[in-house]
Amino acid sequence: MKKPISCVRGGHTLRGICHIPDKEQKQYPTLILFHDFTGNKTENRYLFTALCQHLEEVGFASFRFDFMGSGESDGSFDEMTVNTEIADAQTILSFVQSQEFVDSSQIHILGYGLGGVVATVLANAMKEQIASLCVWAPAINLPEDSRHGKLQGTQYDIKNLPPYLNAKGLKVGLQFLEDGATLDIFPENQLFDKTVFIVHGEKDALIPLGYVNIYLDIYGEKARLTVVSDASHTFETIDQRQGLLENTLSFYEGLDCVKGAIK
Amino acid sequence: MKKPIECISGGLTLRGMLHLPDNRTENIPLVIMCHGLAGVKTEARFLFASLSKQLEQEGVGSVRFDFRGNGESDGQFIDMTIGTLIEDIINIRNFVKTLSNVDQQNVHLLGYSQGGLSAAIAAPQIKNQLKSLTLWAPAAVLTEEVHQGMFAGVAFNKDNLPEYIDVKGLKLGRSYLEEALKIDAYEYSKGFDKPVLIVHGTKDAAVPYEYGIRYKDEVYTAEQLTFVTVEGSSHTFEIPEYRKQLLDATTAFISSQAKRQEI
Repeated sequence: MKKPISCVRGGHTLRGICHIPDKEQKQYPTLILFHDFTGNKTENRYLFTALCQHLEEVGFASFRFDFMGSGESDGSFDEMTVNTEIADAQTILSFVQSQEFVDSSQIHILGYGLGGVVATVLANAMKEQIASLCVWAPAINLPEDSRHGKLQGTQYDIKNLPPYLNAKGLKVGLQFLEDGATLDIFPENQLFDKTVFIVHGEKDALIPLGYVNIYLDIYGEKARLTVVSDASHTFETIDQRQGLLENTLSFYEGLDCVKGAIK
Repeated sequence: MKKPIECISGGLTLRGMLHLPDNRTENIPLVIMCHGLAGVKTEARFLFASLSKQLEQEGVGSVRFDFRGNGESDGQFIDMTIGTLIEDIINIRNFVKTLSNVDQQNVHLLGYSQGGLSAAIAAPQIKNQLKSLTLWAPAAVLTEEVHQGMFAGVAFNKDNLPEYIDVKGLKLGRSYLEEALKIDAYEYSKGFDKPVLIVHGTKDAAVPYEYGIRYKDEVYTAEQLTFVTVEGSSHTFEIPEYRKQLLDATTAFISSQAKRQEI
Protein backbone atom coordinates (compact mmCIF):
# COMPACT_ATOMS: atom_id res chain seq x y z
CA MET A 1 0.00 0.00 0.00
CA LYS A 2 1.29 3.44 -0.76
CA LYS A 3 -0.05 6.80 0.24
CA PRO A 4 0.82 10.49 -0.01
CA ILE A 5 2.24 12.11 3.11
CA SER A 6 3.62 15.48 4.12
CA CYS A 7 5.65 17.15 6.81
CA VAL A 8 6.65 20.75 7.41
CA ARG A 9 10.02 22.42 7.81
CA GLY A 10 10.46 26.16 8.21
CA GLY A 11 6.94 26.85 6.96
CA HIS A 12 7.45 24.78 3.82
CA THR A 13 5.39 21.66 3.25
CA LEU A 14 7.50 18.73 2.05
CA ARG A 15 5.42 16.22 0.09
CA GLY A 16 6.19 12.57 -0.24
CA ILE A 17 4.98 9.02 -0.59
CA CYS A 18 5.20 6.19 1.91
CA HIS A 19 4.93 2.48 1.25
CA ILE A 20 3.57 0.24 4.00
CA PRO A 21 3.83 -3.55 3.54
CA ASP A 22 0.65 -5.55 3.90
CA LYS A 23 2.03 -8.20 6.26
CA GLU A 24 0.10 -7.71 9.49
CA GLN A 25 3.22 -6.81 11.41
CA LYS A 26 3.01 -3.98 13.90
CA GLN A 27 6.30 -2.49 12.80
CA TYR A 28 8.52 -2.75 9.76
CA PRO A 29 12.13 -2.01 8.97
CA THR A 30 12.03 1.22 7.04
CA LEU A 31 14.01 2.91 4.30
CA ILE A 32 14.15 6.68 3.70
CA LEU A 33 15.22 7.70 0.18
CA PHE A 34 16.77 11.06 -0.77
CA HIS A 35 16.60 12.12 -4.42
CA ASP A 36 19.26 13.71 -6.63
CA PHE A 37 19.85 17.33 -7.67
CA THR A 38 16.87 18.46 -9.84
CA GLY A 39 15.31 15.05 -9.18
CA ASN A 40 12.18 14.07 -7.35
CA LYS A 41 10.78 11.29 -5.22
CA THR A 42 10.15 8.92 -8.14
CA GLU A 43 13.66 9.57 -9.53
CA ASN A 44 14.78 9.10 -13.13
CA ARG A 45 12.64 6.54 -14.90
CA TYR A 46 11.00 5.66 -11.60
CA LEU A 47 14.10 4.09 -10.02
CA PHE A 48 12.98 4.97 -6.48
CA THR A 49 9.40 3.88 -7.08
CA ALA A 50 10.56 0.54 -8.46
CA LEU A 51 12.90 -0.10 -5.52
CA CYS A 52 10.22 0.78 -2.96
CA GLN A 53 7.69 -1.52 -4.61
CA HIS A 54 10.12 -4.43 -4.42
CA LEU A 55 10.98 -3.61 -0.82
CA GLU A 56 7.32 -3.48 0.11
CA GLU A 57 6.99 -7.07 -1.06
CA VAL A 58 9.82 -8.24 1.21
CA GLY A 59 8.43 -6.42 4.24
CA PHE A 60 10.22 -3.09 4.14
CA ALA A 61 8.36 0.18 4.61
CA SER A 62 9.76 3.24 2.84
CA PHE A 63 9.47 7.01 2.61
CA ARG A 64 10.40 9.24 -0.30
CA PHE A 65 10.03 13.01 -0.12
CA ASP A 66 10.69 15.85 -2.53
CA PHE A 67 13.19 18.26 -0.99
CA MET A 68 12.26 21.90 -0.42
CA GLY A 69 12.08 23.65 -3.82
CA SER A 70 11.93 20.38 -5.77
CA GLY A 71 9.04 18.37 -7.21
CA GLU A 72 5.77 18.84 -5.35
CA SER A 73 7.28 20.38 -2.23
CA ASP A 74 6.97 24.04 -1.30
CA GLY A 75 9.76 26.56 -1.67
CA SER A 76 11.80 27.87 -4.54
CA PHE A 77 14.50 25.81 -6.22
CA ASP A 78 16.90 28.78 -6.25
CA GLU A 79 16.91 28.72 -2.43
CA MET A 80 17.91 25.06 -2.28
CA THR A 81 21.44 24.18 -1.15
CA VAL A 82 22.98 21.05 0.30
CA ASN A 83 22.37 22.55 3.73
CA THR A 84 18.63 23.06 3.16
CA GLU A 85 18.47 19.44 2.01
CA ILE A 86 20.31 18.27 5.11
CA ALA A 87 17.83 20.21 7.25
CA ASP A 88 14.96 18.65 5.26
CA ALA A 89 16.47 15.22 5.84
CA GLN A 90 16.63 15.80 9.62
CA THR A 91 12.95 16.79 9.64
CA ILE A 92 12.03 13.79 7.52
CA LEU A 93 13.94 11.45 9.85
CA SER A 94 12.02 12.78 12.88
CA PHE A 95 8.76 12.47 10.98
CA VAL A 96 9.51 8.86 10.06
CA GLN A 97 10.54 8.01 13.63
CA SER A 98 7.16 9.23 14.85
CA GLN A 99 5.19 6.81 12.66
CA GLU A 100 3.63 3.90 14.54
CA PHE A 101 4.41 1.27 11.91
CA VAL A 102 8.11 2.15 11.77
CA ASP A 103 10.60 0.06 13.72
CA SER A 104 12.79 2.89 14.98
CA SER A 105 15.73 0.57 15.56
CA GLN A 106 15.66 -0.36 11.86
CA ILE A 107 15.69 2.93 9.98
CA HIS A 108 17.89 2.70 6.89
CA ILE A 109 18.70 5.54 4.53
CA LEU A 110 19.56 5.73 0.85
CA GLY A 111 20.59 8.72 -1.24
CA TYR A 112 21.24 9.21 -4.95
CA GLY A 113 23.72 11.77 -6.31
CA LEU A 114 23.41 14.93 -4.20
CA GLY A 115 20.93 12.98 -2.08
CA GLY A 116 23.77 10.53 -1.45
CA VAL A 117 25.83 13.33 0.10
CA VAL A 118 22.81 14.36 2.19
CA ALA A 119 22.32 10.76 3.35
CA THR A 120 26.01 10.45 4.25
CA VAL A 121 25.98 13.65 6.30
CA LEU A 122 22.79 12.52 8.03
CA ALA A 123 24.20 9.07 8.78
CA ASN A 124 27.31 10.60 10.35
CA ALA A 125 25.36 13.16 12.36
CA MET A 126 22.64 10.78 13.59
CA LYS A 127 24.59 7.54 13.65
CA GLU A 128 22.80 6.07 16.68
CA GLN A 129 19.47 6.42 14.93
CA ILE A 130 20.36 4.93 11.57
CA ALA A 131 20.86 1.23 10.86
CA SER A 132 22.58 1.37 7.46
CA LEU A 133 23.63 3.78 4.73
CA CYS A 134 23.32 3.16 1.00
CA VAL A 135 24.51 5.64 -1.60
CA TRP A 136 23.96 5.55 -5.35
CA ALA A 137 26.56 7.56 -7.28
CA PRO A 138 27.02 10.03 -4.40
CA ALA A 139 28.04 13.54 -5.49
CA ILE A 140 31.11 13.37 -3.35
CA ASN A 141 32.89 15.90 -5.60
CA LEU A 142 30.43 18.60 -4.47
CA PRO A 143 32.84 20.51 -2.19
CA GLU A 144 35.65 20.43 -4.76
CA ASP A 145 33.41 21.37 -7.69
CA SER A 146 31.75 24.12 -5.67
CA ARG A 147 35.11 25.65 -4.74
CA HIS A 148 36.04 25.68 -8.42
CA GLY A 149 32.71 27.06 -9.65
CA LYS A 150 31.65 23.86 -11.38
CA LEU A 151 28.03 22.72 -11.52
CA GLN A 152 26.86 19.58 -13.34
CA GLY A 153 29.81 19.72 -15.67
CA THR A 154 29.44 23.46 -16.43
CA GLN A 155 32.43 25.57 -15.45
CA TYR A 156 31.73 29.10 -14.18
CA ASP A 157 34.33 31.81 -13.61
CA ILE A 158 34.52 31.80 -9.83
CA LYS A 159 35.78 35.41 -9.75
CA ASN A 160 32.97 36.63 -11.97
CA LEU A 161 29.85 34.63 -11.19
CA PRO A 162 26.49 35.44 -12.80
CA PRO A 163 23.53 36.28 -10.48
CA TYR A 164 22.46 32.64 -10.62
CA LEU A 165 23.62 29.37 -12.17
CA ASN A 166 21.63 27.30 -14.64
CA ALA A 167 20.55 23.71 -14.05
CA LYS A 168 18.88 22.95 -17.38
CA GLY A 169 16.41 25.81 -17.05
CA LEU A 170 16.18 25.93 -13.28
CA LYS A 171 17.91 28.78 -11.48
CA VAL A 172 20.45 27.76 -8.86
CA GLY A 173 21.40 30.36 -6.25
CA LEU A 174 25.03 31.25 -5.53
CA GLN A 175 24.51 30.08 -1.96
CA PHE A 176 24.48 26.56 -3.43
CA LEU A 177 28.19 26.90 -4.26
CA GLU A 178 28.99 28.50 -0.90
CA ASP A 179 27.30 25.78 1.12
CA GLY A 180 28.76 23.09 -1.11
CA ALA A 181 32.29 24.47 -0.82
CA THR A 182 32.25 24.56 2.98
CA LEU A 183 30.50 21.24 3.59
CA ASP A 184 32.34 18.73 5.79
CA ILE A 185 30.91 15.41 4.64
CA PHE A 186 33.06 13.22 6.87
CA PRO A 187 33.63 14.97 10.22
CA GLU A 188 36.57 13.26 11.88
CA ASN A 189 35.05 12.54 15.26
CA GLN A 190 31.54 11.74 14.13
CA LEU A 191 31.58 8.96 11.59
CA PHE A 192 28.85 6.44 10.89
CA ASP A 193 29.90 3.03 12.24
CA LYS A 194 27.50 0.57 10.61
CA THR A 195 27.22 -0.94 7.14
CA VAL A 196 27.75 1.35 4.16
CA PHE A 197 26.77 0.13 0.69
CA ILE A 198 27.88 2.08 -2.38
CA VAL A 199 26.68 1.53 -5.94
CA HIS A 200 28.38 3.54 -8.67
CA GLY A 201 28.32 3.57 -12.46
CA GLU A 202 31.63 2.63 -14.05
CA LYS A 203 31.33 5.46 -16.57
CA ASP A 204 29.69 8.14 -14.45
CA ALA A 205 30.89 11.35 -16.12
CA LEU A 206 29.39 13.69 -13.51
CA ILE A 207 30.97 11.92 -10.54
CA PRO A 208 33.91 9.84 -11.78
CA LEU A 209 34.18 6.44 -10.11
CA GLY A 210 37.49 7.30 -8.42
CA TYR A 211 35.75 9.71 -6.06
CA VAL A 212 33.86 6.99 -4.18
CA ASN A 213 37.09 5.37 -2.96
CA ILE A 214 36.86 7.82 -0.12
CA TYR A 215 34.01 5.74 1.32
CA LEU A 216 36.26 2.69 1.41
CA ASP A 217 39.09 4.71 2.96
CA ILE A 218 36.88 6.20 5.64
CA TYR A 219 34.55 3.37 6.55
CA GLY A 220 37.01 0.54 5.94
CA GLU A 221 35.63 -2.97 6.13
CA LYS A 222 32.12 -1.71 6.93
CA ALA A 223 31.90 -0.32 3.41
CA ARG A 224 31.13 -2.35 0.30
CA LEU A 225 31.28 -1.00 -3.25
CA THR A 226 29.44 -2.41 -6.25
CA VAL A 227 30.34 -1.00 -9.65
CA VAL A 228 27.73 -1.27 -12.42
CA SER A 229 29.55 -1.92 -15.71
CA ASP A 230 29.32 0.77 -18.38
CA ALA A 231 26.73 2.71 -16.38
CA SER A 232 26.50 6.50 -16.49
CA HIS A 233 25.19 8.59 -13.60
CA THR A 234 21.63 7.77 -14.63
CA PHE A 235 21.82 3.99 -15.24
CA GLU A 236 20.28 4.36 -18.67
CA THR A 237 19.87 0.82 -19.98
CA ILE A 238 17.81 -2.13 -18.79
CA ASP A 239 21.01 -3.98 -17.77
CA GLN A 240 22.41 -1.02 -15.84
CA ARG A 241 19.07 -0.41 -14.17
CA GLN A 242 18.87 -4.06 -13.13
CA GLY A 243 22.45 -3.96 -11.88
CA LEU A 244 21.56 -1.03 -9.67
CA LEU A 245 18.18 -2.26 -8.43
CA GLU A 246 19.00 -5.93 -7.96
CA ASN A 247 22.21 -5.26 -6.04
CA THR A 248 20.45 -2.76 -3.83
CA LEU A 249 17.53 -5.08 -3.19
CA SER A 250 19.92 -7.95 -2.34
CA PHE A 251 21.64 -5.68 0.16
CA TYR A 252 18.37 -5.05 2.01
CA GLU A 253 17.20 -8.65 1.71
CA GLY A 254 20.49 -9.75 3.26
CA LEU A 255 19.98 -7.67 6.39
CA ASP A 256 19.27 -9.65 9.56
CA CYS A 257 16.04 -7.76 10.22
CA VAL A 258 14.63 -8.89 6.87
CA LYS A 259 16.02 -12.42 6.84
CA GLY A 260 14.35 -12.95 10.21
CA ALA A 261 11.04 -11.65 8.95
CA ILE A 262 11.09 -13.71 5.75
CA LYS A 263 11.76 -17.07 7.44
CA MET B 1 -4.01 24.85 -2.61
CA LYS B 2 -2.76 21.54 -3.86
CA LYS B 3 -3.64 18.02 -2.84
CA PRO B 4 -2.94 14.46 -3.98
CA ILE B 5 -5.78 12.78 -5.88
CA GLU B 6 -6.51 9.42 -7.48
CA CYS B 7 -8.67 8.22 -10.32
CA ILE B 8 -9.24 4.87 -12.00
CA SER B 9 -8.38 4.15 -15.63
CA GLY B 10 -8.45 0.71 -17.20
CA GLY B 11 -8.96 -0.77 -13.74
CA LEU B 12 -5.72 0.83 -12.49
CA THR B 13 -5.20 3.60 -9.97
CA LEU B 14 -3.69 6.75 -11.44
CA ARG B 15 -2.10 9.08 -8.91
CA GLY B 16 -1.99 12.79 -9.42
CA MET B 17 -2.07 16.25 -7.99
CA LEU B 18 -4.92 18.76 -7.99
CA HIS B 19 -4.31 22.53 -7.79
CA LEU B 20 -7.13 24.93 -7.03
CA PRO B 21 -6.68 28.71 -6.71
CA ASP B 22 -7.18 29.98 -3.16
CA ASN B 23 -9.29 32.96 -4.17
CA ARG B 24 -12.05 31.05 -5.97
CA THR B 25 -14.50 28.53 -4.60
CA GLU B 26 -16.73 27.89 -7.61
CA ASN B 27 -16.75 27.92 -11.42
CA ILE B 28 -13.01 27.35 -11.45
CA PRO B 29 -11.39 26.92 -14.87
CA LEU B 30 -9.04 23.94 -14.95
CA VAL B 31 -6.24 22.47 -17.09
CA ILE B 32 -5.42 18.77 -17.45
CA MET B 33 -1.66 18.29 -17.97
CA CYS B 34 -0.22 15.25 -19.76
CA HIS B 35 3.44 14.38 -19.17
CA GLY B 36 5.93 12.99 -21.69
CA LEU B 37 7.62 9.65 -22.37
CA ALA B 38 9.15 8.20 -19.17
CA GLY B 39 8.11 11.42 -17.44
CA VAL B 40 6.06 12.16 -14.35
CA LYS B 41 3.40 14.62 -13.28
CA THR B 42 5.91 17.25 -12.16
CA GLU B 43 7.75 16.91 -15.49
CA ALA B 44 11.47 17.40 -16.01
CA ARG B 45 12.83 20.12 -13.77
CA PHE B 46 9.35 20.65 -12.43
CA LEU B 47 7.95 22.40 -15.53
CA PHE B 48 4.39 21.21 -14.83
CA ALA B 49 4.59 21.93 -11.10
CA SER B 50 5.79 25.46 -11.91
CA LEU B 51 3.05 25.97 -14.50
CA SER B 52 0.40 24.82 -12.01
CA LYS B 53 1.65 27.42 -9.52
CA GLN B 54 1.64 30.17 -12.14
CA LEU B 55 -1.88 29.27 -13.28
CA GLU B 56 -3.12 29.27 -9.70
CA GLN B 57 -2.09 32.93 -9.50
CA GLU B 58 -4.34 33.57 -12.51
CA GLY B 59 -7.29 31.81 -10.91
CA VAL B 60 -6.90 28.63 -12.98
CA GLY B 61 -6.76 25.17 -11.41
CA SER B 62 -5.02 22.10 -12.78
CA VAL B 63 -4.73 18.34 -12.49
CA ARG B 64 -1.56 16.44 -13.30
CA PHE B 65 -1.60 12.65 -13.26
CA ASP B 66 1.06 10.04 -13.84
CA PHE B 67 -0.13 7.86 -16.72
CA ARG B 68 -0.62 4.14 -16.07
CA GLY B 69 2.68 2.30 -15.81
CA ASN B 70 4.45 5.61 -15.14
CA GLY B 71 5.63 7.36 -11.97
CA GLU B 72 3.42 6.63 -8.95
CA SER B 73 0.51 5.17 -10.90
CA ASP B 74 -0.30 1.47 -11.05
CA GLY B 75 0.39 -0.72 -14.06
CA GLN B 76 3.51 -1.75 -15.93
CA PHE B 77 5.43 0.50 -18.28
CA ILE B 78 5.67 -2.33 -20.80
CA ASP B 79 1.87 -2.35 -21.16
CA MET B 80 1.60 1.35 -22.01
CA THR B 81 0.57 2.33 -25.54
CA ILE B 82 -0.62 5.54 -27.14
CA GLY B 83 -4.09 3.99 -26.88
CA THR B 84 -3.77 3.59 -23.10
CA LEU B 85 -2.50 7.17 -22.82
CA ILE B 86 -5.57 8.43 -24.69
CA GLU B 87 -7.85 6.25 -22.56
CA ASP B 88 -6.18 7.69 -19.45
CA ILE B 89 -6.75 11.25 -20.71
CA ILE B 90 -10.45 10.55 -21.31
CA ASN B 91 -10.78 8.94 -17.88
CA ILE B 92 -9.04 11.91 -16.27
CA ARG B 93 -11.50 14.21 -18.06
CA ASN B 94 -14.31 12.07 -16.59
CA PHE B 95 -12.71 12.35 -13.16
CA VAL B 96 -12.68 16.15 -13.52
CA LYS B 97 -16.48 16.00 -13.94
CA THR B 98 -16.69 14.86 -10.32
CA LEU B 99 -15.03 18.09 -9.12
CA SER B 100 -18.11 20.17 -8.27
CA ASN B 101 -16.27 23.48 -7.94
CA VAL B 102 -14.82 23.25 -11.46
CA ASP B 103 -16.55 25.01 -14.36
CA GLN B 104 -17.15 22.07 -16.69
CA GLN B 105 -17.47 24.43 -19.67
CA ASN B 106 -13.99 25.72 -18.91
CA VAL B 107 -11.69 22.70 -18.98
CA HIS B 108 -8.45 22.83 -20.99
CA LEU B 109 -5.99 20.15 -22.08
CA LEU B 110 -2.19 20.43 -22.25
CA GLY B 111 0.41 17.86 -23.27
CA TYR B 112 4.20 17.82 -23.53
CA SER B 113 6.06 15.69 -26.08
CA GLN B 114 4.46 12.20 -26.07
CA GLY B 115 1.79 13.74 -23.83
CA GLY B 116 1.26 16.35 -26.57
CA LEU B 117 0.98 13.69 -29.26
CA SER B 118 -1.64 11.87 -27.15
CA ALA B 119 -3.52 15.01 -26.10
CA ALA B 120 -3.76 16.12 -29.74
CA ILE B 121 -5.36 12.78 -30.69
CA ALA B 122 -7.63 12.69 -27.62
CA ALA B 123 -8.85 16.26 -28.14
CA PRO B 124 -11.19 15.69 -31.13
CA GLN B 125 -12.69 12.70 -29.30
CA ILE B 126 -13.74 14.90 -26.37
CA LYS B 127 -13.91 18.24 -28.13
CA ASN B 128 -17.23 19.20 -26.55
CA GLN B 129 -15.65 18.81 -23.13
CA LEU B 130 -12.63 21.03 -23.83
CA LYS B 131 -12.23 24.77 -24.28
CA SER B 132 -8.63 24.84 -25.54
CA LEU B 133 -5.62 22.67 -26.27
CA THR B 134 -1.93 23.39 -25.62
CA LEU B 135 0.87 21.29 -27.12
CA TRP B 136 4.51 21.60 -26.05
CA ALA B 137 6.81 20.07 -28.66
CA PRO B 138 4.19 17.46 -29.62
CA ALA B 139 6.01 14.23 -30.46
CA ALA B 140 4.52 13.14 -33.78
CA VAL B 141 8.09 12.05 -34.51
CA LEU B 142 7.34 8.91 -32.46
CA THR B 143 4.64 7.58 -34.76
CA GLU B 144 6.37 8.87 -37.90
CA GLU B 145 9.78 7.31 -37.20
CA VAL B 146 8.43 3.87 -36.25
CA HIS B 147 7.95 3.34 -39.97
CA GLN B 148 11.74 3.55 -40.31
CA GLY B 149 12.23 1.11 -37.41
CA MET B 150 13.21 3.86 -34.99
CA PHE B 151 11.69 4.92 -31.68
CA ALA B 152 13.10 7.67 -29.46
CA GLY B 153 16.56 7.02 -30.85
CA VAL B 154 16.33 3.23 -30.45
CA ALA B 155 16.48 1.12 -33.64
CA PHE B 156 14.36 -2.03 -33.96
CA ASN B 157 13.24 -4.46 -36.66
CA LYS B 158 9.78 -3.30 -37.70
CA ASP B 159 9.10 -6.47 -39.69
CA ASN B 160 9.77 -8.67 -36.68
CA LEU B 161 8.92 -6.63 -33.63
CA PRO B 162 10.83 -7.47 -30.43
CA GLU B 163 9.01 -8.18 -27.16
CA TYR B 164 10.25 -4.80 -25.97
CA ILE B 165 12.85 -2.15 -26.70
CA ASP B 166 15.15 -0.48 -24.17
CA VAL B 167 14.11 3.15 -23.75
CA LYS B 168 16.61 4.53 -21.24
CA GLY B 169 16.27 1.50 -19.02
CA LEU B 170 12.50 1.11 -19.33
CA LYS B 171 10.86 -1.62 -21.39
CA LEU B 172 8.67 -0.20 -24.11
CA GLY B 173 6.44 -3.06 -25.22
CA ARG B 174 5.67 -4.61 -28.57
CA SER B 175 2.03 -3.57 -28.28
CA TYR B 176 3.12 0.09 -28.25
CA LEU B 177 5.12 -0.34 -31.46
CA GLU B 178 2.45 -2.43 -33.18
CA GLU B 179 -0.16 0.20 -32.49
CA ALA B 180 2.13 3.14 -33.35
CA LEU B 181 2.71 1.64 -36.80
CA LYS B 182 -1.01 2.12 -37.46
CA ILE B 183 -1.32 5.65 -36.12
CA ASP B 184 -1.18 8.69 -38.38
CA ALA B 185 -0.63 11.32 -35.69
CA TYR B 186 -1.61 14.29 -37.87
CA GLU B 187 -4.66 12.64 -39.43
CA TYR B 188 -5.90 11.39 -36.05
CA SER B 189 -5.55 14.87 -34.52
CA LYS B 190 -7.91 16.50 -37.00
CA GLY B 191 -11.38 17.64 -36.00
CA PHE B 192 -10.62 19.69 -32.90
CA ASP B 193 -12.13 23.09 -33.57
CA LYS B 194 -11.27 25.09 -30.43
CA PRO B 195 -8.26 27.37 -29.91
CA VAL B 196 -4.85 25.68 -29.89
CA LEU B 197 -1.43 26.81 -28.68
CA ILE B 198 1.75 25.08 -29.85
CA VAL B 199 5.13 25.93 -28.31
CA HIS B 200 8.22 24.42 -29.93
CA GLY B 201 11.97 25.09 -29.76
CA THR B 202 13.92 25.51 -32.99
CA LYS B 203 16.86 23.39 -31.76
CA ASP B 204 14.75 20.48 -30.55
CA ALA B 205 16.75 17.32 -31.36
CA ALA B 206 14.30 14.88 -29.76
CA VAL B 207 11.25 16.21 -31.63
CA PRO B 208 12.55 18.35 -34.49
CA TYR B 209 10.75 21.68 -34.94
CA GLU B 210 9.43 20.58 -38.35
CA TYR B 211 7.18 18.03 -36.64
CA GLY B 212 5.52 20.88 -34.76
CA ILE B 213 5.17 22.95 -37.92
CA ARG B 214 3.28 20.09 -39.59
CA TYR B 215 0.48 20.48 -37.03
CA LYS B 216 0.24 24.08 -38.21
CA ASP B 217 0.23 23.12 -41.90
CA GLU B 218 -1.88 19.96 -41.77
CA VAL B 219 -4.09 19.90 -38.69
CA TYR B 220 -5.16 23.29 -37.36
CA THR B 221 -6.49 26.41 -39.05
CA ALA B 222 -4.70 29.75 -38.90
CA GLU B 223 -7.72 31.16 -37.03
CA GLN B 224 -7.61 28.64 -34.20
CA LEU B 225 -3.84 28.26 -33.81
CA THR B 226 -1.28 30.32 -31.91
CA PHE B 227 2.22 29.03 -32.70
CA VAL B 228 5.02 30.17 -30.41
CA THR B 229 8.57 29.50 -31.55
CA VAL B 230 11.24 29.44 -28.86
CA GLU B 231 14.30 30.46 -30.82
CA GLY B 232 17.32 28.31 -29.96
CA SER B 233 15.58 26.06 -27.46
CA SER B 234 16.02 22.31 -27.25
CA HIS B 235 13.29 19.85 -26.29
CA THR B 236 13.75 20.58 -22.60
CA PHE B 237 13.72 24.41 -22.58
CA GLU B 238 17.06 24.12 -20.87
CA ILE B 239 17.95 27.68 -19.92
CA PRO B 240 15.89 29.96 -17.64
CA GLU B 241 14.98 32.33 -20.52
CA TYR B 242 13.47 29.52 -22.63
CA ARG B 243 11.70 28.13 -19.61
CA LYS B 244 10.21 31.56 -18.88
CA GLN B 245 9.06 32.01 -22.49
CA LEU B 246 7.37 28.61 -22.39
CA LEU B 247 5.64 29.10 -19.05
CA ASP B 248 4.64 32.73 -19.66
CA ALA B 249 3.24 32.09 -23.15
CA THR B 250 1.27 29.12 -21.84
CA THR B 251 -0.07 30.94 -18.78
CA ALA B 252 -1.13 33.92 -20.95
CA PHE B 253 -2.88 31.68 -23.49
CA ILE B 254 -4.74 29.53 -20.99
CA SER B 255 -5.80 32.39 -18.74
CA SER B 256 -7.14 34.33 -21.73
CA GLN B 257 -8.93 31.21 -23.01
CA ALA B 258 -10.37 30.69 -19.54
CA LYS B 259 -11.90 34.17 -19.70
CA ARG B 260 -13.16 33.79 -23.28
CA GLN B 261 -16.94 33.94 -23.60
CA GLU B 262 -18.26 31.22 -25.87
CA ILE B 263 -20.96 32.36 -28.26
